[in-house]
Amino acid sequence: MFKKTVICALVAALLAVFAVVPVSAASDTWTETVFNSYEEHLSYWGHLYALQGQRSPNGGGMEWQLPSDGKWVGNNVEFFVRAKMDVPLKNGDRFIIEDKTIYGWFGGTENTIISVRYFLGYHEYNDKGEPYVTGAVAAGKYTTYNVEGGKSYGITVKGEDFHITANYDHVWVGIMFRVSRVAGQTNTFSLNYFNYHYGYGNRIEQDKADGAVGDVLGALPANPDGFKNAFKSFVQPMTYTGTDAKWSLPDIKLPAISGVMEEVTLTKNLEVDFGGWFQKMPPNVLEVVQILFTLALVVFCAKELYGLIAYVFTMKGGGANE
Amino acid sequence: MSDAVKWALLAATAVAIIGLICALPFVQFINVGEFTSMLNRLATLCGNAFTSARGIINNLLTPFGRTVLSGLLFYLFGKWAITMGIKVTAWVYHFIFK
Repeated sequence: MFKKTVICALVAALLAVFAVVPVSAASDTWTETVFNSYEEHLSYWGHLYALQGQRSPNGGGMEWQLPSDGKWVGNNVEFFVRAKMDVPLKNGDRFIIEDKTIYGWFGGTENTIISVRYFLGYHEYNDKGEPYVTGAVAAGKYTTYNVEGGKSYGITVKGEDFHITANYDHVWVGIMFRVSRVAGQTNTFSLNYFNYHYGYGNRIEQDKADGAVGDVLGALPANPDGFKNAFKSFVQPMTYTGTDAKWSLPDIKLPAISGVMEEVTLTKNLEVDFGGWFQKMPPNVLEVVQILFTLALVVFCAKELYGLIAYVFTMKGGGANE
Repeated sequence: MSDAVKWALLAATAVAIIGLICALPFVQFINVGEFTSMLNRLATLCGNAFTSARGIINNLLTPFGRTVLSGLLFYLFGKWAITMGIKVTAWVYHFIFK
């Protein structure tokens, strides 16, 4: 039914998609019981190099502490974070996170308000080589959703461009969500997926473009002015209406041979004024010559024009030779 | 394959070949600056020669004739460029596409 080439193209496209969009998954499940209603900030993050979704360590602003009195229920929650990675970030880089979709199933009977935001942070390493979170680079605004318990939802947070303003080599990305907890229930939260879609950042494409441009420029420096000047040198004489006809002939020299002879100048720079020939002619004779040549030129032009007109009307021949 | 696609492929190939040539490590073997400077001097020398030649011809023409000659030169050069373009196009079409 399908041509072989179409099937091959589809397979290649699918392979390409999977090749450039690696997906990692992590899973966590916990049970919590809520004694008092309150709001909780949960965060989930992954190092951009590690490709693993990990629960943030205790301590600091990114802490995710399993609340002993939590109530919020989630199931089959999936995060999609599109981010770039694998490149050391530099001052002024733009970091794009987009297409963040959270698919969740939320149990219980109460409506649950979820506020989602995403953020960038960076690591520094201690003496033991262990990473620890030192701060956030940037964070998006909270987007609040009102979801009904017991149903599945897909929530997409629109992307924003983050502008890195410092040098961070170890950047992670994550999603933080704020949930409203209701007292009186014990539920299970299951976080099944934490997927990074990465490799679409400006930086990678910019690096490739810079590299290609650098290779070409390094191989052969561009000099477009040279061609422009050469063309100008050719066109300018066509519009020249003066009568100066000086031509400067350069020196002719024998080059020096080390230990044998010095440089020898055979002829010095010679300037020839061809216009001087015409100045020596009697003026009336020169005037007659000029008129005759001008007439010849006009006749040639008229013949050329006639040839063009004849060609247009007859579609035969054309040009001054016809 | 339509002729339009063939022309596109030919143009892409030409650009790729030029790109490959430009990507060769010329800098390691020749001084590009001196080479460019030499070409500039050559172009300047030729330009001066053309100007002098035009000056000689202008001595044989009235001021009106000089202006006419300028227009005629542009016409002839344009005609030559268009004719060459057509010839090259026809040559490529005949020997590559046919």
